[in-house]
Amino acid sequence: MNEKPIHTDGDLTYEIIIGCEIHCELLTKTKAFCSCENRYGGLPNTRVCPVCLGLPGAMPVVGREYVEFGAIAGFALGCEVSRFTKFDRKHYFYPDLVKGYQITQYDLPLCTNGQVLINLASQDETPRFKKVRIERIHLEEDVGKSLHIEGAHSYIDYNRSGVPLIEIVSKPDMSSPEEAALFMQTIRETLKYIGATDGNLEEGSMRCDANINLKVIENGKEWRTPISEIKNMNSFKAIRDACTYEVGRQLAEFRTDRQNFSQGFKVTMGWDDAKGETVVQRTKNSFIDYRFVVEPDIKPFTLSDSFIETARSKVGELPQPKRDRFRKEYGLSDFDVNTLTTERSLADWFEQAAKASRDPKKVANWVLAEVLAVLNERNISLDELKITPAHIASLVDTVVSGAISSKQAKDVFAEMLETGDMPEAIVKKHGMEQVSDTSLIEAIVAEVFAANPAALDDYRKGKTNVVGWLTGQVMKASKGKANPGTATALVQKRLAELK
Amino acid sequence: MNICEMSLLSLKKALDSGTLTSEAVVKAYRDAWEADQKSALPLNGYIEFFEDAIDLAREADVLRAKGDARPLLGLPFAVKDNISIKGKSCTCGSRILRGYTAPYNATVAERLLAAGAIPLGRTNMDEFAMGSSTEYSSYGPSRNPVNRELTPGGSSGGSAAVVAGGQAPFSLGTETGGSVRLPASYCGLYGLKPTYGTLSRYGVVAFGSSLDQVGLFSREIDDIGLALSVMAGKDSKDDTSADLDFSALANLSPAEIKGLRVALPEEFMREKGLDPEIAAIFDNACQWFRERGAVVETVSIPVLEAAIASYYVIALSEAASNLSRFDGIRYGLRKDPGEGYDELYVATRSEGFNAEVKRRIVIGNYVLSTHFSGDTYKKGMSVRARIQRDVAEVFKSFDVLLCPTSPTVAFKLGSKVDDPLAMYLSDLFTTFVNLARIPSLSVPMGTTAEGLPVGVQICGPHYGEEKILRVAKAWEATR
Repeated sequence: MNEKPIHTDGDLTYEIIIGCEIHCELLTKTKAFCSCENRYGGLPNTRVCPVCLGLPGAMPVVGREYVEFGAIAGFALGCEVSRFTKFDRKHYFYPDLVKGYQITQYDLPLCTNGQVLINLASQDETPRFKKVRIERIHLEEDVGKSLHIEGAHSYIDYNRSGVPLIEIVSKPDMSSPEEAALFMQTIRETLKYIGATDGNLEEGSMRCDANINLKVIENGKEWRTPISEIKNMNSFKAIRDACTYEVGRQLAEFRTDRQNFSQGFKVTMGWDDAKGETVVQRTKNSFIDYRFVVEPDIKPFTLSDSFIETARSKVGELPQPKRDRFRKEYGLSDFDVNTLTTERSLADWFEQAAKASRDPKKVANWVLAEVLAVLNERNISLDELKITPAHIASLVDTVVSGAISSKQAKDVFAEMLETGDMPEAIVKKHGMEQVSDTSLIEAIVAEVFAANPAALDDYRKGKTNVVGWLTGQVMKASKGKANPGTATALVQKRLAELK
Repeated sequence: MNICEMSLLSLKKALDSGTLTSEAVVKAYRDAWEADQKSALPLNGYIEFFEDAIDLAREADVLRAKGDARPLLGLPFAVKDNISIKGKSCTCGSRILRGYTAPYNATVAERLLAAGAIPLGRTNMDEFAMGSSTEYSSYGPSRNPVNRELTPGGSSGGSAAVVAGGQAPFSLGTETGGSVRLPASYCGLYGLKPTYGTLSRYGVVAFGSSLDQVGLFSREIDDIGLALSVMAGKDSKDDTSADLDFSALANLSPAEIKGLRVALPEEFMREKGLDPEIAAIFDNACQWFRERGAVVETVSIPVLEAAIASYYVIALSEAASNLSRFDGIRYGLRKDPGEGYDELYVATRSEGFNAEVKRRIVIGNYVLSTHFSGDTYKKGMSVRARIQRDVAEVFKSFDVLLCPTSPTVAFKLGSKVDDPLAMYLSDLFTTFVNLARIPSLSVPMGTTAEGLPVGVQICGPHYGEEKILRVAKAWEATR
């Protein structure tokens, strides 16, 4: 499952080793340690209080929802959640850091020993999974945001200061830039799915640091290149590009200096998207001393069994198991299940409709083709629709039973979108019930044949396409209510009699 | 009736009976402060006497006439310069916080204000509460009202000086390792360090967060009970605060001394630095207990020998951490050479902190640095855990623990200011209390031949405040 791809470059062979640290903002109502609202943006410095500004004398109080989200995320990523946990302080100076330290978890993280499966196959291929281990997930507060105006002042917005984060630390299990990007995608999908984060990359809700180096073999001797840590990437493309660039840079550097990495030291880099290259932020062999100390303002605490169980139960079914089940239970294609499970709300919506209907596969088609189209066109969410899963289930069943035609169903769908009425009511209101009574349709066919002798002549001369035209006339005369199958059959029968 | 010599409780009775107005009370204290300012050696207990105190007193008088009966209505107090009061400066005696105005109330202040009390002013302190003499204040030293050549002790020296000097009936100080009890002992006052968690620390500028606690000074024991009764209890803004009901402390009755079990830790009695006169006064105190039928026994708590070392490791580690927020970016002093952040921090902190604070930040960071945290910090924490355990064990067999507050009487201003180690040893008998998180009250037990006050500590088990205050009340009655 986890065989490492070996690359070659001239006389060198090498493996790529990547580990990721993902920072993810949680969707709690309040900030991590105070009751300020947790929301993105807004006028700078309007959502701040003594605690998130770190004013003299201010003290943090842990939000319950914060720890719960952390535990839910931990379970979703296959971790063990520690019963006993505590907070620590990590020190460094930067203007966006209000206290000179960040409250974090050092030696007793909330979650440990997790794993996720990343899918190396493309979307329409059969999934091909690789396991990536997660070393730990710890709770941590976010810092403020700096805005530097060239040649003028720097400004700082502390609205983000104290926003609750989790930091997910992987084992160095990724062996290509693509895998690193897939890892972040998988984490994002899962955490979005359980509602722990909005996963908004542009707004910085998720940021990824990648630690990357190479295992190089030259003439049978094994080397490890010094580790680069590329900070704060917030797009999958940036991860791919930055790691790819770094592989090339490290290979080139290796060819000139043959340096082996040493424990604890690394180069810290940023990714310059415009130039397409990594930029050194802190030099090699620099060692940051965070001087961890136990956070004395927050008592270590033990999570109760009921707290842990509640968190576990809130995880629910994750995207991958759900895909397998949808495929099996509803007989859907890979493409269909992938689309239906992009968001939990959509998957749930679909499943409610599927369960209420006699034909889940048709329900899936309706949701994928019609419902999603409406959402996209109007740029709205499912709960802003006037229709519910029950509407779609009932609409599909009305078609399956033959009460209305598929074409009529489109009209019903359009109307129920506007009014929120149930399909039965709409069908009744417009008298749209399909007519399948053979004698009634036979009478209409007779009228149509009587009224169109020219067409019958054409048929006698061998023009078979008049079948469709005549059926169309029958449908028209019945105001669309005639069962099209019955109408076609009767038209054909009568034409055969003509010969 | 000299207002400035009255206790808080007697002032309350006078206000209740209408023989005094709050305005007259506040005015008396302000006059006393103003007169003292003009003297040859002013106490320098207040850094600032609040302009609006008289207005608040007049308002309180109006409210009282309308039937407002809040427990501390119209009663004044002084507050150490590291406790936030909304709209007032809060500088911790430091240059680095000059110009900072607290935008919120510390919970202890909030509760006193809610009970109707009036803040008179903020009091002088060793910068960031680091020191034992109030000489490390950027506002100059405070003086001991008993003898103005001497220190009032520290770091809450200003809060002790204003009460002992008749400029406030009671005051708030803070403790990390003895900063209330030591000045109380030097100035002849009662000084209480409550159990860690009894009083909320929200809004109190942190020094060593796991040791810090707000303390109280008064001339009579009832005053501490009254103030504690409105200040104690759970605060949702402080995770470490305890959920207690201390309302009974507003009416203290003396404890029964007969049968009281009193422990004397022998490690302190053997201490070479203990002044013989203090040892004698301490013996008298033990005798007082014995004469009244208490069971007084010597106990051995060997780990106390390591208390001061453990204390400095933990206190300075946390201090280095807590003081990181003073960086010149958001408030207070800023020195910006215009060369970048690092230079801004260095310039601001170099100028803003005094030598003692810098010394402690450097030691604290040294202890926490990656090369040492493996042993020094952890060792300090494990010794502390042992102290907590062994001291708690003593209270399984004893009601109270008795020991001297300070190895010496108040020393001369200037005599130790350049000898940090000598200064640190002032805390010899007090730091174990903060490490063990127990309550301790320094009680004025007598005076030396020179007339200098000597205090003795009565320590109790966790949340045993009522017990030790009642024992002190019994002692006070025989004074």
